[in-house]
Amino acid sequence: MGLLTEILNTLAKVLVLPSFYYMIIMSAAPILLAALACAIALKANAINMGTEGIMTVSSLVAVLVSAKLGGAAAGGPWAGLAAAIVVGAILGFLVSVFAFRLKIDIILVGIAMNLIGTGASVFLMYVLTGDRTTTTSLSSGTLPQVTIPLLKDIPVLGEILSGHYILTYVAYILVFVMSFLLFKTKLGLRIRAVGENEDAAESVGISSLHIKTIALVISGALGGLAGAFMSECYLAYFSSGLIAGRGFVGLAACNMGAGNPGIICICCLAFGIFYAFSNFATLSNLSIYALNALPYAVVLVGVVLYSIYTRNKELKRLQGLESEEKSDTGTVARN
Amino acid sequence: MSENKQMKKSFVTLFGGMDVETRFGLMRMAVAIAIGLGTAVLLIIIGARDPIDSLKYFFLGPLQILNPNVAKGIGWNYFDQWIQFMIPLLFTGTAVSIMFSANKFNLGLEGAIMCGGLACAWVCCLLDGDIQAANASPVLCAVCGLGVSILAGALITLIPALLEKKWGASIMVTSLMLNYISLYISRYCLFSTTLRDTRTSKYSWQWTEDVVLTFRKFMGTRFTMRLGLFIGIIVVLVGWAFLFKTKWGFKIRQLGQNPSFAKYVGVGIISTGVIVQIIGGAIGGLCGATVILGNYNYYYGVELTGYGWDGVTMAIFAGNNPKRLIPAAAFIAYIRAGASIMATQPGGPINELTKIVEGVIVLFLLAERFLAKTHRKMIVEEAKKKQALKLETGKEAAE
Amino acid sequence: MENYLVMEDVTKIYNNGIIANDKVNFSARKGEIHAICGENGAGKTTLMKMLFGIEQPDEGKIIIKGNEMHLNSPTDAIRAGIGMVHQHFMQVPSLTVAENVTLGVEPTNGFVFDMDKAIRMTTECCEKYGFDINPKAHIQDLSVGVKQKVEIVKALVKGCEILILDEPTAVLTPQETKELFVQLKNLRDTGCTIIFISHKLNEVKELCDRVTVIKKGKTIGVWNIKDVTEADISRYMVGVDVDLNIPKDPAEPKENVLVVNDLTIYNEAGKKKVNDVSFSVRRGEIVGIAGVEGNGQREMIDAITGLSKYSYGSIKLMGKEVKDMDIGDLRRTGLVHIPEDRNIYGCARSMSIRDNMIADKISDAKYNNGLFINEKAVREDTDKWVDEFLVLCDSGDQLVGMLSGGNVQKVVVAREFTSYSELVVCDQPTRGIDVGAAEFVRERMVEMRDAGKAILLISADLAEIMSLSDSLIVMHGGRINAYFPDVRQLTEEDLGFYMLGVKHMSEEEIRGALHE
Repeated sequence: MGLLTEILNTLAKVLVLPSFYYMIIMSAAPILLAALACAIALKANAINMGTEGIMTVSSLVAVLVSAKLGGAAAGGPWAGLAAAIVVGAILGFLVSVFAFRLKIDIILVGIAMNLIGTGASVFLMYVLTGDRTTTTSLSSGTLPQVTIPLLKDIPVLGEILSGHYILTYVAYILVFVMSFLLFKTKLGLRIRAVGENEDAAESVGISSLHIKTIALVISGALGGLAGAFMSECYLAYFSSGLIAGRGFVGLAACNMGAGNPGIICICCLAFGIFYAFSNFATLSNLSIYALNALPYAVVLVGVVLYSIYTRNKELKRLQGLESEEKSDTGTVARN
Repeated sequence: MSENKQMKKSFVTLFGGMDVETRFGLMRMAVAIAIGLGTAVLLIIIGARDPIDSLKYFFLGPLQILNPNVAKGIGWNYFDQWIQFMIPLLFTGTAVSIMFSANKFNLGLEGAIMCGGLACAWVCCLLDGDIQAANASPVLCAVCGLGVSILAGALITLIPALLEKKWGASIMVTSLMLNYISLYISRYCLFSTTLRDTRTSKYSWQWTEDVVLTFRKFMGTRFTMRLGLFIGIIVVLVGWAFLFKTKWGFKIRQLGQNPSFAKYVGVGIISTGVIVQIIGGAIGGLCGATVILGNYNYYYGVELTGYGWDGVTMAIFAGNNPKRLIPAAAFIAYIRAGASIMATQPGGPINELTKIVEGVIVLFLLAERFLAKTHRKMIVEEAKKKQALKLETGKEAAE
Repeated sequence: MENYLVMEDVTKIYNNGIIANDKVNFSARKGEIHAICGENGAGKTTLMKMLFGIEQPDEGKIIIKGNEMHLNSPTDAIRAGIGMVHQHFMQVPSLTVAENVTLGVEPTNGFVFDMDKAIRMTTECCEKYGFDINPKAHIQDLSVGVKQKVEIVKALVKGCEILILDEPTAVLTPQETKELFVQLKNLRDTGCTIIFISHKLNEVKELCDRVTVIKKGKTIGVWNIKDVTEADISRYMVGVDVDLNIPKDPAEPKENVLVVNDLTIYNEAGKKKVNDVSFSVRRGEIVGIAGVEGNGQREMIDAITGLSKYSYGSIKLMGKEVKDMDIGDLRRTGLVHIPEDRNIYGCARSMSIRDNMIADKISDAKYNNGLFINEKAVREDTDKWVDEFLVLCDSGDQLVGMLSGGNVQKVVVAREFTSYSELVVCDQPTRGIDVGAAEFVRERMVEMRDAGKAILLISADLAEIMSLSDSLIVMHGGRINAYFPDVRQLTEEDLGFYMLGVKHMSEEEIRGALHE
């Protein structure tokens, strides 16, 4: 109880700070990207657990390519971003090859991908830079921050919404793009059809293998974007613990939102609150470690609540059907 | 030509007694390991300043003890590194093998290890540490520590199990989150509670060295062998006996092989599923405690260990059969020890390359379609052979 | 009227050597509703699978509009103007009707799915053929009847001219069936050819123009529906030409072992599958349950064997209510069960013969030495059973998945018949196994009866059920339609009439099944 009141007290203190809201938007963005990556795969009934590994590799690739091209001054980060997306897409494709062509359980493919991803990124960093833990020695630079004219001059709101890294805006725009892709396009329709009832899709001549592969390639590319965010926006370098489970948190957010971008975005912002919270630990009597654990605890509770919700909904649906049926037979008897 | 034939013949006599599936399984494992080691060689050649030297350390490092040119002490250290890497693999491999045998993808082992280590450390500090006056004997200290760690570990994997049972929440997601929660609980306890040693910034209060010494110097002063290894081997053997020699293990495997069948023959599939996860977590907790007590006399758990994921790798290597964990753990620990010895040498590449090797081997071990043509060929050949044999015996009988 | 679709001398042999279709001939005219009737396993479904491109014929020709067609996939069939409504609907629950209907032929605007056009296509199709469906509704919110209409519209939108309906009324209420028939007749009048597969002869009589009867993979004949009665069709379909000749003495039934009272079961979708069923099974008799598949037997057996729960009424095994026990308790009370699908419930294919045989007895004191399994006892007993039940294998350590179907079934039978038993439930005990194995299993069942067990036999094989059972229950529409205390008095023709609902017994006669 004491913990809860302390959390609420601290919340009250930070809620008045515009910089807190800025932090929420910023720290939710990479999780959002990871969650969107998982979402498109989930909609095709392919759980992409390898997002963590894909993010790790692509975040390093972004830094290396950027530094090679001469850093921020020479537009390196943009090339790094492009490289990260390409590498992510290739890894996503590899996941689909191992899972659907070589027939390995896709969760185990994801675990192996994380293993190889963390190993390969550190190895690559060492071979190419000689560093063992971080790439701080490289000047890879960051992607630009965008100040939005007009908006930036509005007090409070300007402080919160303007001046973010470009990828932050991209992340939130992608929520709409992904919604559009999934719910308004032919490809999206086919992805959802394959994900829900493969037989139905196959029976009208849709190749589920084909659709799942496309979904995983897009998923990988989004993972690459999330990786680039971490090493070109969140920080300006790569380090071995950079991703720190954000891929998994994304997976959880995606699970909670059942793959629907809008709900996923809300979940990510909710997690963002607690990520941002830990940046304001000095205002609180709470231990930073308790604060750090909060986002994960919130995810846990969220996943459980979501499961309860869906279970009740399903029960109600079945009960509804049953009562309908009974009233039907009732009329028969009367007739 | 004739030599070739002879070799073939001896190969046949060696493997002839096994059925096709076992033979194919062994062959596929050999190929997967060969691909993995090939990857390792390639990576070392790319990454090392002096590849020959590095390769030597990678492949022979842990066995330097046999090399008279290397000082005895260093040789022992290298060997000890191998043992040290092997210990957690034995525990986690057993835990995951048991959970996967029932098809429960509980990935909370990482958290169980963390909390097991923490609980054990706390008990040791209370019983025989700097912060308390109580002066229990090292043995009591260790036994209580191990006992408490089992409970703590079981609790961590029990939570996702119950959440699934009650509300159908995805075990995978909840267990992953619990790993991180466990990590921060551990950090919180270490830095913000009375567990923290106020004199240093990183560690907990210390408990008596004797516990660690008992764990380390188990076989007398000359040979530094670790008690943890023996506990690990016992866990593996007990796990194997449990899974393959008792009715409970039998039911667990039934559940994993075919849940409908398990239900039909009367296995309580829900309770069995939960129990399996409790056992997995308990072993994880024990692992955490053993690793802590075997290395330090203070607690230092500020990062996730990665042992939980190792467990998945090990279970895949051993095909969920703990009996095969000992060679599997020895193999993985060997290449890890080799890599880390290699990495400490000047110009040696980084030891993380073993993760790539492990991942590659895992993928090729699991790929159902990998070598599928050879598999088919072997089956056809076997069928033909049997047919021929039948004909022959038929003829003989007729004669 | 010319034949629009012709299937000529079509033969299909499955990998396991079963000849599902043997030179079957079938033809349909433009604008007719053509019924295909036949018992379970007669080969109707295989024939339709070939027409829809799911299976390919080994011999014979498929000719549509005078052109020979090679249908290698459903896509080919759809292109050739064939549509199929499967028994299990091929629909995506969370999508709307319009989306489901146009899936595979989505109207687009660039990349974008043109929802308006999809709705228009659906509405147009619905209006043209007189279906009343809201194209914006989500499939998951629809009743089964509407779902089926969606399935038909789905085929029509793709330009189908030949529509196959596989037992479409099995899932419908009487009103929905009536509605469906009106719509199918409309469809026919617009020139569509409809192939209607059904067991319900009154429906065939009411709806169809012609009927083709298939028996044991062969065409028996084609008739205009006006020229035949329900009784005729039944006679053509049902026919036991093999006398199984199982040696057995007349039964001497003793006390009740299983008593089912006023049992009513709703399935998951809320449809009443078993309606107020009462009967009992006594020690020392084999009670057969006959009936066309889908008439409630499945649900009833699942309830009796504890695989699923039931809503109303009671099932008592040895005087104890089944609902209160889990399967472990049931087995301890004396239930053994040969399940319908041996590969799902009957065995674990990746475990050894030994493990499979001992699976339900592993907790018995006999097979445990303190903590550990007594492997010697297990080995001895399973070896004995392998010999006794004539399981053809290299050794008991072989994986069950490596065995042939007949031998897998022997493993299942060996396990069940060597366990403690009072009631033996045999669900399709000889389905898909070779003649020798089938005979062996049947003989064992009679032995069990003579040993004083109560036996409940469910089989789609009429020869089997007529020659094995002592008394027989016929189920139709979730109810008991007939009870024959002595099977020897029963003719196969009569049995056909009751199974297909042509005849009904009185309440009092049916009540006799309870042996009060």
